[in-house]
Amino acid sequence: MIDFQFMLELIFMGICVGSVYSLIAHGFNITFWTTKVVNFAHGPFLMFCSMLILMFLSIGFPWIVAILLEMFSISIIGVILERVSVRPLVKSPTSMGWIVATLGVGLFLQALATKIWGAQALAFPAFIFESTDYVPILGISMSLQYLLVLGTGLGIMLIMELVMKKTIWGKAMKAVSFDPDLASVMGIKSKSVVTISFILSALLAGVAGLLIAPIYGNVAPDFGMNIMVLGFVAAVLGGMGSSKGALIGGMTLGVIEKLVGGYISTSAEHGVAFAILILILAIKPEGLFGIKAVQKV
Amino acid sequence: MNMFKERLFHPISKISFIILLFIAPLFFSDSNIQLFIFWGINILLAQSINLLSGFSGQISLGHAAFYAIGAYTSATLMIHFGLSIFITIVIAAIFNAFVGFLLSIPARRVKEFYLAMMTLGFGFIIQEIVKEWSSVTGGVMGLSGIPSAKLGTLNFFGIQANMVMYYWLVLVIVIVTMWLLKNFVQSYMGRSFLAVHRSELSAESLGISPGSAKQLAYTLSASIAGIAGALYASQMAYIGSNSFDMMQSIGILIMGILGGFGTLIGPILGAAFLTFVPNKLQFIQDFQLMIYSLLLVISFLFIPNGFAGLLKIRTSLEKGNRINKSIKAIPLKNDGKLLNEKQSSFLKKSFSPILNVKEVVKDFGGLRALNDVTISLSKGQILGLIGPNGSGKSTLVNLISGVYPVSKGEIHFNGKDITNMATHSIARYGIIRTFQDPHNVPTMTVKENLLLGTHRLFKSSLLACTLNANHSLREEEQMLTRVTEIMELCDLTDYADELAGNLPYGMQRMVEVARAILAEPQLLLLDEPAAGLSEGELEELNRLIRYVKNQGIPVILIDHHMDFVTGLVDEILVLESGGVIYSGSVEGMQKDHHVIRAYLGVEHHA
Amino acid sequence: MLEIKNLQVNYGPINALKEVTMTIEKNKINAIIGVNGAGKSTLLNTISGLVDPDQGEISYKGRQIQNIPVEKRVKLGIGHVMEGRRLFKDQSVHDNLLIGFYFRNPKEKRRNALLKINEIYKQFPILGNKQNQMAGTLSGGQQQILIISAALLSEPDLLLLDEPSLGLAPIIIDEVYQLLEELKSKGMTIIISEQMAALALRISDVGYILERGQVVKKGDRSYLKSLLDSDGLSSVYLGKAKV
Repeated sequence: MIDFQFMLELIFMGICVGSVYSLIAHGFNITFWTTKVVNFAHGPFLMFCSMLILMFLSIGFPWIVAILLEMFSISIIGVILERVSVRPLVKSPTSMGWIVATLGVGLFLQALATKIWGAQALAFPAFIFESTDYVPILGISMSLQYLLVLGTGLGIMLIMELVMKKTIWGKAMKAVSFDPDLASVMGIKSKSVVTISFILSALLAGVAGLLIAPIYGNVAPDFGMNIMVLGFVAAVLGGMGSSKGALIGGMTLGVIEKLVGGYISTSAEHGVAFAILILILAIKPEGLFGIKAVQKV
Repeated sequence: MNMFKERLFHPISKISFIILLFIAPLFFSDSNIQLFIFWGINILLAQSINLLSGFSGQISLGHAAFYAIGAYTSATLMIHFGLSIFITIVIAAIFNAFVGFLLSIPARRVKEFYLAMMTLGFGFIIQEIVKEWSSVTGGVMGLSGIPSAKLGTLNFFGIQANMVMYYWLVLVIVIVTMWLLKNFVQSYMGRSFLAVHRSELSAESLGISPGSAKQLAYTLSASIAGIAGALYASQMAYIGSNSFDMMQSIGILIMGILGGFGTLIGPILGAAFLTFVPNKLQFIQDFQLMIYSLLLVISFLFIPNGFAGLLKIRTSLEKGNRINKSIKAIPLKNDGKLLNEKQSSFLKKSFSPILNVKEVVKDFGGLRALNDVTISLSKGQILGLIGPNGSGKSTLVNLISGVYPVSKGEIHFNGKDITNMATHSIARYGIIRTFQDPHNVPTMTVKENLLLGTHRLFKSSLLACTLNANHSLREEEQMLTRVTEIMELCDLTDYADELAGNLPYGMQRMVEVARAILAEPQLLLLDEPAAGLSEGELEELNRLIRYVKNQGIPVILIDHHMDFVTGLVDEILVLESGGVIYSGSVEGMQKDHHVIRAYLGVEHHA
Repeated sequence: MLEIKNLQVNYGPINALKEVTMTIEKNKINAIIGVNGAGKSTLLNTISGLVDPDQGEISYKGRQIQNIPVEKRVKLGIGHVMEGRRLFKDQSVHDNLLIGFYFRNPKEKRRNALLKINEIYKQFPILGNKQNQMAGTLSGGQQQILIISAALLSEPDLLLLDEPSLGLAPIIIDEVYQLLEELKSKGMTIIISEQMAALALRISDVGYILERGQVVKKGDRSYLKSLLDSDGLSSVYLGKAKV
């Protein structure tokens, strides 16, 4: 019986950690929808957001102000990234240019964070819930912090599905990604839509940074890159560009990680995730729920 | 500038430069020797990523993983088994080649950012393993006590090696690697890497298997990084997981990009920049990470071809110069004829149909692009394929060349069933095609692009190519002779050393058609070769196709210039909305009501 | 209505358009006739702003427009139906119309979106019946009707149609052409590109024949018809008859 409960706890933990990954995957999806670009600075964005909040808090701003300032800053960084690393390079025949350039922006943020705040991990205060806040559900005690992440992850997925399927702006975004020329003939400002998608993606990184940092308890400049690859695994597992896929992919990854950690070794957790990435890309690159694209000549 | 470059690359200056490098350490301080050793190691790393990302176009964000595996392999073998460094370097290279081969199995299937993330993940996995597998790697504590010249614990054949000797070892390895690399990239295999980089589809249409090319690239690249790792371990005497983190991978990438991908000199310069500049300028060391990342952001925008591009340095991808120097006047087997004996004897055979397309259907989703098309083609015949836009002409060519799978029906060539075979396998049977927009490699010269056409005729082994074995040089020379002939035929001789991407559009088309002819096709598929050509160029193309016809090679020709098509073809096939509406002679077509209707829109009373 | 002066467009080293000059009069159907690759699409794309000219001027209603972005030209009243039946195939018929309406109209008119779309459904019941289907699942003719309807939602004064008859059955071509004539009677100016000369001449008032990016012949319908009858056009398409 104890064993069963242990497993349940692992699965629950996995689902919650997984919703963090799916938050990152959503961030990838938004820019992927409009430009087929995956922002290699997304992880550092997230890290930088945590760091910014920490800084604004330490200056003495209340939470709400710190969060608003952080969101504002990351939006601007998102716009800069789009202008500098994406717009001039996205039309070139190989993707190496924008991959390297977005990665460069990410590393710059990482280096900047190291310069300002040092390479060591900094303690991050609890947000809304303490790490000791638990509620018992089904006989297992669930961390409220994790539940908050889970709820936000679900909420964002719902909002994204709604926006994409029901609002004119979602339709415009889909239109721009499907055929930018046709979209502009229809009067859509394709360039602005792309810029907005990068802002939204950056904001999502901001939300993720705000929710993940309290769970980790501390943040270091290099934690962004690592977790970004995990978020990418989630996105790929669910099929690049799918909101539902991002959520399911993230949770699947989280659960597998926690089960591996619980029954085999915690040190193998991330290794397994990377192995999944390599496997899924090699065997079913369109993801578990994706549709295979037709190659055009 | 050119004069200067000529002098710089003159053999005498090269040899004196190498001698200088050998003598130099005798006058250096220890710290300078060490710096030069690092330059050497960095050169190997930069060339390793250059081969993978620069030549074959496969981005790698986790290259430090290979570096790490080489270092730990060599270090553990030296510490635990007391093996000599000469042996551990070889083992590290071979073991790494194996790891590279393994990685290529999933990696060859993915592209672009998927590949980028995959390699980033690969870098993280190896780093995790290094951290966690402490019984072998020492975990986060690292591995110390590696025999090193710095500590006087390294032996070369029983003699205690000092720093200068270690420097020489590195120097010899770098020089040998550079020589082998140069031979390799100037061989047909090296050229196939660039072809895959430019367009896998176009490479396949010449009989190059992109999968195998990538596999080879991963294997070789990993092996070179392994050697670098082994040298690094013995230089440092201590290795820790931090030496092989993501920043190291990025550093390797920057050396390649900054130096100039796709050249052999570029990475040397890139390695020099990253070795010497941070060392000499304290200020840069403080902001190293920021400067690296800014370099990443701006390099593709401002210096897409790196230092090599700024200095206008280019690495030749053929051995013409090398051959002219050493093996002159080898009697030619084929007496200077473009097609060899085997080919012409094949052409003299029967006149039965060589290509049979039987009731082929192609559906895209719910749309039927091609409906029940049957054609047969005999040797020496030219078939014109015409029809309005979207009538399925290109689709038919794509089906025959294996770019799309057929939905129904069969395609036989030379008696063999080639339905749904891979494009490169079909190309190896001799079905060669061109594309609507020229698919030459823009960064290769005309001569090199044409040599790419002969790819499927090369037989030399990897070893023969990299060691410049005599028979492989002779093979290269034979192909060069053919290339020279066809360049004369197409008036391209003056542009032999011009980059294909710099040529006017019409000439690029000619190069592509010539390239296809050099592949000794047994069936040539030309998809709108005349689009965008001027009158003069059109005439030249006309001559070229007639030449092909005279060789007995059957041709399928798609084009919209009716005068051009009707003047060339023996038979014509008119498609409309995926179905054949006319098949027969040109005269008949011009009077056929269906055709007139399809083109002019009405019944025409002529 | 529209004045094109000395227009030149290069794609890399190729001249897609060379010194094209034309005057399009109000309330006329103008045909641009030419074979594949003659430059028809490039010409229309340059007018609507998808392609930037290397040289030359375009003035529309007396205003220079060659430097105005596509979205703004749309708002000035230039509608463009692109080649190859392009629509958002992964979105529903209704959403295609909604996108077609929403972004090209000023705010106050947006409230009437559903009203306008319902008018379209009344005119073409087939679209109304299939409004929730993915646009990609419609037949070719239905798609073409949908595209033109979407273009009409912005109430353009100048409508550019790039080979609207391509791949359509003759009876549907008739339908499309009838629609164009109706639009003309309502005062719209239309430029249509066609590969098939005879087809285009059925409805156009003026025709331009484009060859390799240059206007080689132009004139009114009767002139071009006489060219067609004298075999002068036949050879352009089918080659000089070898006798």
